[in-house]
Amino acid sequence: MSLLFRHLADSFRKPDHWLYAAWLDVITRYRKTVLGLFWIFFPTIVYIWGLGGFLGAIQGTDMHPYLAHIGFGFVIFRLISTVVMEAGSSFVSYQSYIYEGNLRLTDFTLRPLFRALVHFLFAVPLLAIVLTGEGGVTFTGFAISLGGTLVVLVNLFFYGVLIGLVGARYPDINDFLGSVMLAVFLVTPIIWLAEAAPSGTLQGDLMRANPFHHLLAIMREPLLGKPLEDMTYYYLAGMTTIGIVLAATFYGRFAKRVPTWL
Amino acid sequence: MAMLRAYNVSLELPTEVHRTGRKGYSDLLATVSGSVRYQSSILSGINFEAVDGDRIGVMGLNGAGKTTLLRVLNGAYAPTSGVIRAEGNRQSLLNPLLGFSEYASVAENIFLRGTAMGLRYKQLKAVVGEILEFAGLEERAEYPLYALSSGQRMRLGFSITTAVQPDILLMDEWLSTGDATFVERARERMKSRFEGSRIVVLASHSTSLLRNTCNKALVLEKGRMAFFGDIVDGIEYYRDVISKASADIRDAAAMADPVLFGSSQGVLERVRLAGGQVEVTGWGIDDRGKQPAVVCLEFGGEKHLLERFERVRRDDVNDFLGKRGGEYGFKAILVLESKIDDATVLQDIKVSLGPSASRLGPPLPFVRASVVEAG
Repeated sequence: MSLLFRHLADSFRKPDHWLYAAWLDVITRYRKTVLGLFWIFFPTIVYIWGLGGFLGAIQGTDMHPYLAHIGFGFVIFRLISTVVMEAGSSFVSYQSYIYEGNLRLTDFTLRPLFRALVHFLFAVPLLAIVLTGEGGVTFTGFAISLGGTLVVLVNLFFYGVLIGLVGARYPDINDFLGSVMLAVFLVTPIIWLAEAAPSGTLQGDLMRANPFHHLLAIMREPLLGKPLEDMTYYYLAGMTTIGIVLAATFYGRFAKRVPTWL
Repeated sequence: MAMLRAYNVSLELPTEVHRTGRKGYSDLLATVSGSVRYQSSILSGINFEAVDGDRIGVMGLNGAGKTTLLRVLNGAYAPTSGVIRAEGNRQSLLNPLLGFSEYASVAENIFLRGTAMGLRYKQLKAVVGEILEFAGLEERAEYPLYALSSGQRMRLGFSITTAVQPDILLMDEWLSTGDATFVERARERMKSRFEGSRIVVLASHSTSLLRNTCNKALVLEKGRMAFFGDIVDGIEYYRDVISKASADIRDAAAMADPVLFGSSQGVLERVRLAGGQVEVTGWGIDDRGKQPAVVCLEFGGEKHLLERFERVRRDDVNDFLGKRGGEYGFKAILVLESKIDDATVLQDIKVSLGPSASRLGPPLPFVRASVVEAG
């Protein structure tokens, strides 16, 4: 069980490769294009001012808070869904490293995770622009959101390890997650507001059962000055604990067998 | 003090098999029928011990399990049974293109590849110039990797991977591409890395390379360790393995490797097919420079060994070989048991000689004046 934590500690002690490789993965992707790094900002621009502007206009809602809502929703959801969708093939994609005897599999989970985080960080300036029109962010809100980001990253890592192990043996999970995440985008309050599903109603219960709603909420709501339900804290505490225990148990038992599965 | 030991190691890996269906290899319906997964034994009976100063050459035909053995030794595959014990830091150079990124520059790829091997970013900063120089790519440092030719990539990969000196070096042979001057420089460096490393395990088809660099041999036969011991005996053993294989494999091995078959030479001068028998005439010496004891005829996928054949004293051959006596010419007759199409026999007949059935040399060449006739 402690194998996972030992490898994780080693990965952080020697982060040179996964950190550098993830950064290059992101940067080199835009090298051949004429506009270069502009394209890294482009999806965020499209979602906030394109889709957000359009949906806000046809719904006749107050534009500013809606743009902030959809902007944060999109950027955070992209961070989460990219990691989840890539996790299943994380060990498969780096099998040549594994065959070379590099058995610290945590490196191969951290690399796509950090890649998604780089994309997220590039979107932060745009989110700051959206927020300037808002009433202003409180210090507590900012602190909770920052702590929430950490919780989300911890969850992405441990569930990433878990999905990676499953994906190494059963690549089926990639097809499953690839299709499901698209639907999750629509059932999570990103283009619609959480207020539409109040607690106690059927749609409210459905929304609160969705882990992605809570991961999103703890990063977004405090910054936008909206209240966070107590349930989100409990839900995430439980989810994080389960994730850590499961990942550590499975990693300890199956990490050595991953090379034979690839 | 470095040490590498394998105790009774065996390895089973899951293999997936796709059924080809009732119509053989062309059954379209069978393509959607899914696959069957079962465990198959890849390596067995691996037992050896290497101490400081040992250089082990791993030999075996294609698919014998050489690369898999290296992957067990580098820790990638945990043995199904048995134990691997290693002391000292291991560096395996199995895949020269590991970690490369197409759109990153050559210099960036040095950091990518280097850190993938476990080097620190700071260490690499100090040697990046040297690596570029060795690869002869200083002027290309800022070019993207995709602008390099495959030979240049191999050079780059080689330069990076050999920039460090490990205690235990595990290598698959991939020193095949590159221009002659680079190969020469690469050999020099390999030699110094070999001498610097305490233990080297090198898998290769080139017995001349192994004989020059290794002191011990490990021969694999279909995944089983068939021999471990002194390199000279190991090469002998590997020779026997190849001799049992078909003439094509022997020919290819002899072409790649003059050392393996010593200086066996000779010529096939005449092949005649008449009255249900094949008659071959020519001359030759075996790898020890003696009169051959066995003549082997191979055609239509079958081997026919002849231990009784006519020896002919040939003065021209004796003069050519510088021998005073001896009967190096031969005339062998094989009686065909079943009717075989003349054309098949004449087209792909291969004749080889040797001191015994298990030590056949490469097929004898036809000289231009050779006569092939049927009738």
